[in-house]
Amino acid sequence: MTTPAFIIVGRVRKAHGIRGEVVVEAITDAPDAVFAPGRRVFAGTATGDVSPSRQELHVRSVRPFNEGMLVGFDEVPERNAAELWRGRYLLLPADEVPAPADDEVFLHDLIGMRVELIGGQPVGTVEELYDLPQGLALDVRRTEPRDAETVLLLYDDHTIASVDKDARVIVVTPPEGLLE
Amino acid sequence: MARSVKKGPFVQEALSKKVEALNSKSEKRVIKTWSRASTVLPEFVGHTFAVHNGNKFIPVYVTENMVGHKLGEFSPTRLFRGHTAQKASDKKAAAPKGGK
Repeated sequence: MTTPAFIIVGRVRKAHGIRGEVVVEAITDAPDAVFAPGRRVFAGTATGDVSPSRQELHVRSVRPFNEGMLVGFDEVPERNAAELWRGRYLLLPADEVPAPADDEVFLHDLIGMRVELIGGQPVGTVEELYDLPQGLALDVRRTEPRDAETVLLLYDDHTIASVDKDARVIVVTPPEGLLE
Repeated sequence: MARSVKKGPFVQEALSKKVEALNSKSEKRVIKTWSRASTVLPEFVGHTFAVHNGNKFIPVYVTENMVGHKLGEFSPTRLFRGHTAQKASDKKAAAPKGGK
């Protein structure tokens, strides 16, 4: 996957109060840094793309609220304006987001990676990611002739042997019987 | 209402037989099951079950703190696909090191 120009960092759930604050669901590992007062984010559409006008929103205030945060933006002064932001995404340029460490990978980078067994036998391609109670799971579309099937693999130390970000290959050691 | 204590926890008979067979041979294999209502017994710890959620099999590695719960609790019937599925977001996962 080529690196996109903008990366999603949050989503506006709804307006809150009469002072133009909105409830923001942070979609970043560093919400305190991204939504710190004085920082700016770019307005996005409801489908997750950056808005054509590239409108900037400057964070005026922020405080925690119900597993999310209440954020006030300079450009959103009152309730009626805040209502218009419901469901829209907030983005940052990709070069402003800290790059993943050597032992980390962006979740969106996992999609499309090839999955192989330790011996090099192909298993399939990552098609979807799911957030399960037991952790992240990869939905892998099997290779031919079983390409009508998918198999779920847990993204944990038991199942994943290594992730090669450059070659876009995930080497797995699935429990015996899972791929049958 | 709680289940009567005298009946003991419910476990599908075929499932408990499969686990017993694996335990007697000290083997570890994924056990596919549709029995979401089966209770996790202490004998299940360390085994991996593929629990059907109505659409696909969800792998469940049983640990000690799952004992007493139902298998179906670990195989949600509605899967959260994440935000706009294919869009890039600032969420990272640590690459697991090792395998078995």
